[in-house]
Amino acid sequence: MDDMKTLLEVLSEINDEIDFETETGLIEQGWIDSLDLMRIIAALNVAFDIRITTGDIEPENFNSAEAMLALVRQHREEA
Amino acid sequence: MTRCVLEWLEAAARRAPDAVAYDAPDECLTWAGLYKRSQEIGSWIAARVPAQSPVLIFMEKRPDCVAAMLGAVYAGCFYTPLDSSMPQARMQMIMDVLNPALIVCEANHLQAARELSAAAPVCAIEEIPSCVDEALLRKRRETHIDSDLLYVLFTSGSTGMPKGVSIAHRSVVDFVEWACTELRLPAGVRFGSQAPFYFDNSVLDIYCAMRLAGSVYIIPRAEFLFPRRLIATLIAQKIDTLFWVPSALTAVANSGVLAEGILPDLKRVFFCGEVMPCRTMNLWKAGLPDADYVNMYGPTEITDVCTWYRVDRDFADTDSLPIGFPCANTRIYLIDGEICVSGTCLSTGYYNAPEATAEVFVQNPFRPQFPEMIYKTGDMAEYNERGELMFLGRRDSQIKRKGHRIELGEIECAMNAVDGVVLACCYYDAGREMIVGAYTGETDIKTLKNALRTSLPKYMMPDKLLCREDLPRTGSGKLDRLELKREVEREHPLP
Repeated sequence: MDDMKTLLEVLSEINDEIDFETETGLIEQGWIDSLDLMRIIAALNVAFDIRITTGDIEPENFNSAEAMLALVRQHREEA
Repeated sequence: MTRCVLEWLEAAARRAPDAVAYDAPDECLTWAGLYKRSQEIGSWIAARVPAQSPVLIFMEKRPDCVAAMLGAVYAGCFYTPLDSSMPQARMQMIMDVLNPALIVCEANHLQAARELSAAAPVCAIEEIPSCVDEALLRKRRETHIDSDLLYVLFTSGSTGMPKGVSIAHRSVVDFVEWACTELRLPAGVRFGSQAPFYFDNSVLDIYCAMRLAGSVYIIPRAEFLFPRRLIATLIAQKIDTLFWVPSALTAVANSGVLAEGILPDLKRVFFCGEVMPCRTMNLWKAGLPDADYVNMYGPTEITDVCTWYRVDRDFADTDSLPIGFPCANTRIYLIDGEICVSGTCLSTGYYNAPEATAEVFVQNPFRPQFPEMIYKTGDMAEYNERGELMFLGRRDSQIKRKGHRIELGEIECAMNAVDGVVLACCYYDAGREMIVGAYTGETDIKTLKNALRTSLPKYMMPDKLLCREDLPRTGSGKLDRLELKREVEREHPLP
């Protein structure tokens, strides 16, 4: 569960107006725009020491904190 | 000779009535459908406001929005498209300048639209009935002349007040006829549209498709975040032409999805709005070696594009791409290195802002014998040894971020307007693509950030805010952005 805590901290650094903890339509509802997404990917790569690129993501990976965490774990296993 | 852009719509509706005109994932207008709906909206507007009135189109980017824009034109009026993502305070400044006679919106934005203006009537597009008043529309058309305004688009202003660039029909006719010919656009061209309608790159998509009875697929904004999804859309929609800002093309190129042969239908890749990195272009050329690549240059004030360069040789990743040669019927002067433009493409000036207009729309110094305007772009250029124009940069504090034109002065004004801020100074760190805003005063960073969210569009928000004891000044006492940048980099070394 520590990973989730780290993730939420990273996300609130980027935009503290969004309720990342409960929102499940971050992309669909337009909460996240391109500037946010670039920052999120860069921050996740640093915080979790992984290498996500824009070429291997889909909207579904970023609709919720849960989905982002799944993406992080998947990349960690691959590393 | 075409005097009104609606002549293209009418020709397309006769030539290809059942063909798709503008479509999006769950919405589609054919040329006949668009013609009919635009006439209905035009009849409704014409019954309520006089010709040449400003009509604000407060709608999402979708096919119906084009019908609303053209409806305003049928009524002999001109349009300003805005979307609901604009912060309230900035929207209010635009309303003060434009003073629209009427606001057209979607039913779900009625409340927000009513809050924009106490004076202007608001109507939901869904409520406009299917009636056409042919006599009234004919009358409006008979009195139309080609110097009547077609649209007013707002850009960032250094004094904090957005400027409304007024463009007449004749400028768009001039531009679109040039573009269809020189860009070798085929009848039935299919665009994959990236530019928001409030950004003038969209003028090429909208009107070239109309001129050629082609079509425009409106790509949902979120897809630009996900290159793989975007490529799948371009394939499924059989898009053959792109006119995008370089940052959108760069995002796709850097994601590594451009394998050779991946986009068999795509024949043309055009770009404008900011500097195109040769590295990006080379990545696209690796995936699509046979496409036609054209780099274009031009601010909103000269109707989208005033110079162009068709990529006719190879460039190294570190080279600069020429902006090339003037478009037909356009003249470029370099005055002390500044690009100055004359021709039919020129805006008639900033709407309701004679002083701002007089600063940059000036008498041609080479033709003092008779009145002729040139527009001073503020962009610097030089000729290379081949006689091609090369873009060098800005002479002032305007910056480009993801194709958005931003005056640092507008951000500073917004910061200065916040309680507890004494003085603000901003600079752009191009290498890290970051806007840094420094200020003196009592306000804490979080309060300032929250206040700015209500006054600045997201793309103008500083990425980093710094509270400082003091701000550096030049010898003449002006705020010194360059020195600020040096000081900040010393104090806060960034990766």
